[in-house]
Amino acid sequence: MKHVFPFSAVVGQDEAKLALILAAVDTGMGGVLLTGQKGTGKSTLVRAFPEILPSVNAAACGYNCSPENRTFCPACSVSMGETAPVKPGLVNVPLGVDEARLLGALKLDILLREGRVDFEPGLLAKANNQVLYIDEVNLLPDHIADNILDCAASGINSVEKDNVSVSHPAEFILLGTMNPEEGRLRPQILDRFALSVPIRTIEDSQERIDIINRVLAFSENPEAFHSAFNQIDLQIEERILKARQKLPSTDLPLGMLGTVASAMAELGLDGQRADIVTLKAARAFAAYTGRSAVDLKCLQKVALLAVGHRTRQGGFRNAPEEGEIMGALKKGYSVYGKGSSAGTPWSFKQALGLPD
Amino acid sequence: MIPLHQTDAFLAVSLAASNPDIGSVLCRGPSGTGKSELLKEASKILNTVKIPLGADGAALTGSVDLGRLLGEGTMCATEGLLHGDADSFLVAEHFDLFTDEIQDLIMSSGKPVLATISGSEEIRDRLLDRFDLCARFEPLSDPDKRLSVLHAHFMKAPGTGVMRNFVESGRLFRSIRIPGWFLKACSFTCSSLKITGHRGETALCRSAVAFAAAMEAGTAAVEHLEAVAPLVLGHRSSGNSGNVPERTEILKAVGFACEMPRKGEKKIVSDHMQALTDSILEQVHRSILSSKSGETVHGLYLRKKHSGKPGSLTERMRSLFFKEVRMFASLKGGSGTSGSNRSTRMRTDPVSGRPVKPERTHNIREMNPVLSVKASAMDGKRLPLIPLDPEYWRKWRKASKPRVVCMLAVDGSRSSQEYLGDLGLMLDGLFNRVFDRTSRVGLSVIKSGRALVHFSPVRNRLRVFGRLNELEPDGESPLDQLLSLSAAELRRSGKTCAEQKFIILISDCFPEPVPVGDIWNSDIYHRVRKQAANLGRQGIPVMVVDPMQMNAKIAETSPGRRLGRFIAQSTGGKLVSFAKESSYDIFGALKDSAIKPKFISLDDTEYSSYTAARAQVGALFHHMQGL
Repeated sequence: MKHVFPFSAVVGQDEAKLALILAAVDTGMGGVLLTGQKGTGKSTLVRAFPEILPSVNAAACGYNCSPENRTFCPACSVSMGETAPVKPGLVNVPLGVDEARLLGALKLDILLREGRVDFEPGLLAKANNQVLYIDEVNLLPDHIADNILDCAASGINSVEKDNVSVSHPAEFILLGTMNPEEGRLRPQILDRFALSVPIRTIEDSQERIDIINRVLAFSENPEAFHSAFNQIDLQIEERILKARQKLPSTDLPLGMLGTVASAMAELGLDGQRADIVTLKAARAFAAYTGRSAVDLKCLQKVALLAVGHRTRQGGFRNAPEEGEIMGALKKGYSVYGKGSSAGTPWSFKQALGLPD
Repeated sequence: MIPLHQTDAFLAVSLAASNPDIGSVLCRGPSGTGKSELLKEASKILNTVKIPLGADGAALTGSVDLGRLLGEGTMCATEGLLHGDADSFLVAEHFDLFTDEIQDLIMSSGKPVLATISGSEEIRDRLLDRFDLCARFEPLSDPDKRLSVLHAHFMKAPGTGVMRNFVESGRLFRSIRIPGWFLKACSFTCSSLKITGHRGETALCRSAVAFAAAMEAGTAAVEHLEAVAPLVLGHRSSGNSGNVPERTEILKAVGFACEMPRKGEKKIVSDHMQALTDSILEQVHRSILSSKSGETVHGLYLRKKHSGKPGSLTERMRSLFFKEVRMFASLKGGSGTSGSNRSTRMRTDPVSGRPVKPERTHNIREMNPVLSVKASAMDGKRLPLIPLDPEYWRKWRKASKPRVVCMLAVDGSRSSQEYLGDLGLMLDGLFNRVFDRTSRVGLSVIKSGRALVHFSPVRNRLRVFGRLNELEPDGESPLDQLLSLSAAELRRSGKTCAEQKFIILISDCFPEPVPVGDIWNSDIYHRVRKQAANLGRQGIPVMVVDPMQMNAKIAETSPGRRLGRFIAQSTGGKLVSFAKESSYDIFGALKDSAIKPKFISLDDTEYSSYTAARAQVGALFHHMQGL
């Protein structure tokens, strides 16, 4: 078996590792975007990522349906067969992918040979309960990116074309990497990524030496290198599994909701995706680090990842910087931290000035 | 979960769900404001058919069943998505991402559609009008409101209860009593706003009645109309101007239309006139109190106190004033109503006996409201039918005196597309970051090898039109046409007395035909150069923005680059180019190299021009009293 460079063997890039781990803990959070210049280890991290993911029980239906999915493929919704634990893999979306290959299409050979309309599952079907990876996401044609993001948001891929009418689950962890030098991403698309991490070249000379050593060691004897680090990877995997189980019981105190709401309002972020993602990420962080409830520390740890890429005022104002975000959180905490208010209640009658 | 605090959207979707005859709903707003959530809630109550992105026309309308054709050899049709249950709603999220053909199919299916559009995207006007209700999702800026949304999201998601109750009561709309004045009020609301077409009226009436039913009111009333009118009319373009009416305008029109059939036109007009005169008098009083004696007030040369005369109008104010009077006089045509017409309280055409649309309301838009009030008072005539307020006056100020009129000329080449991204954002950016808000920007493009005016600064202030990627990359670059069309548009805006007029040309593909030779003297270059010289003579500068990465060598050797420079120089404009991709900041570049440094930043003048204008009116009024 060919080994990939182990996740824990990547030197530095703690932010990126944290973002990936959070996405693994709460798979419903949304995608992770890694931005950075060439040669900074983006792809290495991404390729190593499935190694730390816990296995998923999946059926052998061609769509990887798992009992935990919200919907099932046509066959599994009738009756799901035996499921077996499957290690999630990386499904790569190549740049030149066309809509048919991505969404799935009519199976021509079956049509012509057997005279029957059948569906050839595409990459999105393959990616169900796996990791969907888009390299150079900024270079992907708009309509392809729109399709993927729509699917990522709803968790369902429905295909209505060429006589085919199928919908199947597509719940994947979305990973994108891009080199911002090659062009920017549309703000609408950017906003759909839950977390984003700018990856910078490491300046520390000792760490750079470590990188060279590890890369050389890996290329010399991948097997030995892999087994040396595999233990740590397995530990991370176990922690993620535990955190997943703990996630539903991890408390989100009202004070933290208020802190986030006020901070995001202060930062002037348009929609509320940022608020929700920050809280989800903080909850995942709390579960991963063994806390029973989210606290300010968790928010501070994840806020930059969740907000640092979101442009404001429809793209006219730049994304907030770290200092600004931390300041806003602190300010929000001082007002709302105690959690005494649950916000303004809403009723449409009141909003219209009618008697309730 | 129902997105909290999005009252408009909640109402729009719930109303459509109560009475499917109301029709389609468009939800628009920035991403992450809960558009999809709302539709998800609605589909728990309604039969919905979701149209996925990437669906093709055959899937919508149905087509030959390939399986049966090849398997059994029989021709059968598959059932399309559009032919589902008779009472189902179509759900099309990201409506703007569908192709034109699919959009047309969806909207002409005869079924009610629930659609969403994200951010600043736009759809074609014709389709926009097909949506009976349009609701905007507003980003919440109040932390307490945001908190309540998060609280609901993470802790106690309120069920579909609110919407279900609403819809269940709303479905009883047939039992609502409709008073006699109600339909008149609906139609009068639309006609006074000059809404094109009649879709607005029926939708307004139906949704107000459904709302009355949902409120368990028994009788349709004014407050029901007021609640739904902004949803029904807020996206419909009015009159020739093509602008959509604003919320305050709509509410005023509703209030007026409801009062009119009941109270009578005369009483209302005199009430409004009284109120307006009061407010003008108050302004005059204030401005006189605050101005020092002998001081020049805008628009008015005040004589010294001792001369005993009230001073004279400046030339500009004088001409403006008489223009108003003339305009008003030309409108007063059918307003001398006969006794019988008064009794019906709606003006009717003396020949046909049909009700006449109140023509003046449109023209009054272009008038200085305060001056026309004064003019009508002097003339002993009635007031115009639209009540006026400071907000209106401000709009007039904005519309009548743009500081900057500019045409954005863009070629449709692939590289420009990548570089510019969303054209709507680009235009919006020009407004908000380079010029001040009184500016007007038009747009001309090269599309399929032809130059077209997409949007003229004369007709509209700003609306956003398609995306740049609708343009075709293989345009032949008829730059000369593009320039001459843009210049023609600028000339048409001649009456707007702008301080600056110019063209911004964004192109990185000046035609460089492949056959090498003396390109500079080729026919195609010759035409462009001639056009540039022409513009130079007319005094219309062209700012050339060249997004090509350029080093000194390319700049020297490339004839295309040389042409760009030539255009800029011969028209008295400037060439803006970027050395590195990372330094692309088109707004910054335009601002820095403005032809004359007259661009005004975002924050200043809006308020001060408003107060100055008020002072001006006050002084004028004072003056008039003296005459």
